[in-house]
Amino acid sequence: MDYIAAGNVMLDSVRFTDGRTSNREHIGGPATFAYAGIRLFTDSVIQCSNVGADYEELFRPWIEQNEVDERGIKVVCDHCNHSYLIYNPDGTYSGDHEVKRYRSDWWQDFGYMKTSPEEIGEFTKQGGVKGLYLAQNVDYVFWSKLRELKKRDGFKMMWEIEEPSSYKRYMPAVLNALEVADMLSLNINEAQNLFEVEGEEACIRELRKLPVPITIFRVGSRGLYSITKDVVHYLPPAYFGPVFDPTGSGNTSTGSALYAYCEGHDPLMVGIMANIGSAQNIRQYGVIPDFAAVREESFAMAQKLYEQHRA
Amino acid sequence: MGIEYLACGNVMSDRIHKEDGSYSEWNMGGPAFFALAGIRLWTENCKLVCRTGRNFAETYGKWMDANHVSRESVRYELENTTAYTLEYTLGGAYKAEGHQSLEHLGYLKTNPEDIDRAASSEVKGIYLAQNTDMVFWEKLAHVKAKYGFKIMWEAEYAPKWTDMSREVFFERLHNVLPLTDMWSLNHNEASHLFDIPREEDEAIIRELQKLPVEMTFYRVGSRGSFVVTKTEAYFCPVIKPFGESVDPTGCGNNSTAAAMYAWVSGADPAMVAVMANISAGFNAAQFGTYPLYTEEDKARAVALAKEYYPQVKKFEMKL
Repeated sequence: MDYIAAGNVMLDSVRFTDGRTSNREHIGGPATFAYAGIRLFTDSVIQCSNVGADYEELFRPWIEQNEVDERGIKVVCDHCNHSYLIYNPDGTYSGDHEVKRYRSDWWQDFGYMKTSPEEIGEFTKQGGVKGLYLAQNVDYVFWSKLRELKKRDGFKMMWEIEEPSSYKRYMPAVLNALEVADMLSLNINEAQNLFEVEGEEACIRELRKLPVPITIFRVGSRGLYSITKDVVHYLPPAYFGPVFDPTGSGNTSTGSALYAYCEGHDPLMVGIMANIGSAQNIRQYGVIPDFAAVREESFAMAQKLYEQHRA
Repeated sequence: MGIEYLACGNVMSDRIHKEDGSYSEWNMGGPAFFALAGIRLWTENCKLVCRTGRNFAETYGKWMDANHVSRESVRYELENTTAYTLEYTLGGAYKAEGHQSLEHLGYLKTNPEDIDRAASSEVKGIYLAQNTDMVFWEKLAHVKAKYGFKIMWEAEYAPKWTDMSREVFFERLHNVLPLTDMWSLNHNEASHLFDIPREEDEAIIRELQKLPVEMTFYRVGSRGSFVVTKTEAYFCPVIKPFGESVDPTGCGNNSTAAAMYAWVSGADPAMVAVMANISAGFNAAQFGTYPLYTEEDKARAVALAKEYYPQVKKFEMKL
């Protein structure tokens, strides 16, 4: 197994300001979307997540359609986390507080289902893992366990920083985590909060100073930047069709970037493949439904865009 | 002799926001830690099973070493032990303000695999504060079957903090209780659950006796506690070995675990209530847990049990 997408699963319902809704829940969550971003390009990936027993109904058709390896999916409680999102006209989103939530939806269960380093280690210890995706906070103990795991099993790691950790007061802990991570992914709101600056340019200046080989800096509907110490590539979104639902695009693109980086692509191609993951994700509610159906066009689009940017 | 009793679940430090606006010092606590202390008064053959913060070692760790309690089943998973500021209101209810997120609390929650790792065939009884999640309980039932211990469940029932209706909780209760041997709740919880004023002991006890569990440890605040079986109930008033209560925090957890120890050790219902209330009396004598359990304390507890046991009467049902 070359890749692991670890972390939380969510069942998402979305509502847009024009009244459009998803009508029902769709499978999602950082790990599932990141899995999709990797799986778009390779079958050698496993998702490592703790879920509620109610994952089955929504996940089963997708698992069967795509022959998803389920060894990393562990049922630990009754209910998955259910998220009810409202999208604002500017693309930002928040929770829908009008939805009645039951105890099983509490944040406590979110923590209970969080993937631990030991659970990830069960899969990395088998050897041969090239890359790990994880959305995570900055807790020192958690990262010290990941550090040991990485030292033991030798994979590369993509860290998507969680929003509550993206504040300047956590900078020492962010730098501690970056001693372990090989790649960082964050969006513009998180970057602005982390550095206490305004605007893309100011964020990029700060991001280039971070001790991490490559950063995927996501700027919403404008696309993303692929940033290293030496180069900054701005990459507008790739296009396969109209935007249907942006939920999970950041996670999906981050997963695709992990794949591209670990396969040895340069920062330009890493950014392009990240954008392709995102572009495939926004074509429907929930995750990419059929990877085999869109893999070839995704690779072809990556090559085409790469040649265009190089020209 | 090996470990016979497990106190499983959350560890939480707390401080009290006092009426005058000031705060107490930070105290060690949390359901599992208070429960551990409740058992430790009577036996050294117990241990804590928890996930906690690395800073646990500086405080709780010292307490455990001083009290000769093994730390082998304490897992350090995050930086900080969960911490709350508590504010007591009239009637014994309290407000709790967390210093970490609920996600933090959830990540540190003890799971059935942790209990499996900690248990052995020598373990006779475990204490656990837990909700009604059936996946959790079915997994724990397998662990119980593997080792043969008895389970004391302190129900996490917080109607004010959740949207779970009493009807839903009641239905789930009937699924969980057959997987346990004992359970514990307080009069506020029972009052809400059965929709009966909390002062109406007899009506509540009648409802408790209908439930599918062999023993209920029913706590009635500063009045004391009942031990309720299918056929009878015994009431023991609060016991104050050191005078008036200084801090009631954790007395419910502490006494519940002591009740588990007593019941599993073969004490009769009256003695279970007495031993539970003695443990709570030690716990209420200061902020946080009792600092150091000595052989003299144990001898004193045994003497108190002998003194109070004859005073405990069977609760006469009038209706």
